[in-house]
Amino acid sequence: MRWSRRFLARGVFWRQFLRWAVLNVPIWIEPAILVFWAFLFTLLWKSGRNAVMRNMKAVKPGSWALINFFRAYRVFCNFAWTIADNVRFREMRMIPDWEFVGIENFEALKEHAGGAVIVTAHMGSYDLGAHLFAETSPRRIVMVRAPEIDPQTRAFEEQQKGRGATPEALRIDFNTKAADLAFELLDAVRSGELVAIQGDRVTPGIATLPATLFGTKTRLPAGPFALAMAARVPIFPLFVVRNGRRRYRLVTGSPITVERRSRDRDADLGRGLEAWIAQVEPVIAESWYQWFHFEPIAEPPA
Amino acid sequence: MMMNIVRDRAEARWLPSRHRYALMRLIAFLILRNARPKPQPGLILVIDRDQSTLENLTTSIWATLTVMCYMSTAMHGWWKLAAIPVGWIVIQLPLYILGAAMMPLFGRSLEANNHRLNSVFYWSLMTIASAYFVTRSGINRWLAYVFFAVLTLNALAAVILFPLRRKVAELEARCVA
Repeated sequence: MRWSRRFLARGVFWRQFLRWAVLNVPIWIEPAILVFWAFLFTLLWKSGRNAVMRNMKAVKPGSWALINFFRAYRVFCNFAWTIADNVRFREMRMIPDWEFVGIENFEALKEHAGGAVIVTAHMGSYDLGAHLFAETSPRRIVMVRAPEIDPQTRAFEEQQKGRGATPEALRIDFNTKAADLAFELLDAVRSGELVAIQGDRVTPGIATLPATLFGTKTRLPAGPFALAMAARVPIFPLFVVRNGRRRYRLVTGSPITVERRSRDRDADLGRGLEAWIAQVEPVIAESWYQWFHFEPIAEPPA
Repeated sequence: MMMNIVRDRAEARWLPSRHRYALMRLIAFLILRNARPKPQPGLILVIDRDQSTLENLTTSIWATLTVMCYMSTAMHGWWKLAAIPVGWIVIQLPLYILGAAMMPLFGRSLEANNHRLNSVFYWSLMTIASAYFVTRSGINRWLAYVFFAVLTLNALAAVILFPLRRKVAELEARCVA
């Protein structure tokens, strides 16, 4: 059983295989191979496919299951392209084309004196975006990533993290021990660093807030908002959207302020969360085909 | 990190250096030569020979369809439809045979960059298969002709581009500046 675990959808074999493929597949044949494997994963990874299909039902109310199956395939294709681009950057320093939307907000983020929290969604290549930001900006950035569920995959990713491509200005932390990390991040923000956290994905053990996303009751991470409130820094929503083959769009939203205004801390955090949802929903609705949320957003019934 | 990039210029998509094959480089050169400056603030284009989407998608689709059609000769009637999934799998086999099995046997690391070797192997196999189908009858004969025609055009483009290389470099330098 232990040996076969590596071949499960989140198993380490596929990460190793992807790395091998990036080093071996000639670029011109890559599209054909990529869409083939994405199709295979769509067929075989039932839980991931069903979760994407259910999320699509929330994003596009009234949509048909059959159409959502093909939408799920499109999500898997985009995911395959994105993770391939990530590995290619890590192994071969190949970078994609970039387009900036909301450049005035992006410039405000770059020029903002003091720390700030960047909230991203699990779409496009946020890894690549953080790398690019670290390469082109003098600011130090700490990127918080959800840990891999599979221990072997987690070990592999930790090992890959240490490879030469990570710039000095970028630190990647895995969200494994929430309490310790919270203090580290608070320290980082207070010392003027940028902290990038995913705001649409809950991993076990992290604090959450109730929210409504696309009319579906769900829970979203409280961390980014609590951090911004404690450090008294703004939150910049930032989305890295895949625009085509080796082409990405960096969308920067308007800054969100989370202030303590009342005795009810959760209500104050909730206001920040609502402002975040108001920005993330249109981006996901427009680019649903790359919302890599492989768990259903709906809260499981109590 | 050294990045070869062009900022804020949409016409730089047609830089010949963003294309791999001579035929596409020549086409890109002709388009860029006649292109008007298109300022697009916030655009960053990378100069890398594998960056062209048009070139890569066209080559990929063309090669895959050709392999599917070649595979269909071994099938009859409605079974010819099976050539679609079979061809899709067969086109990957050289990669696994050479990249995962043969190269390690010859002492080449699995972690090495084998793009060039695999690409040469692929095109050699395609040339051998096309040489075979040129001698047969049916639609595959014409596909094989198309394959050799593209190969010839690419070689011709390389010959044309060689004396133009300075002009190409000047045009690119002007666009990047």
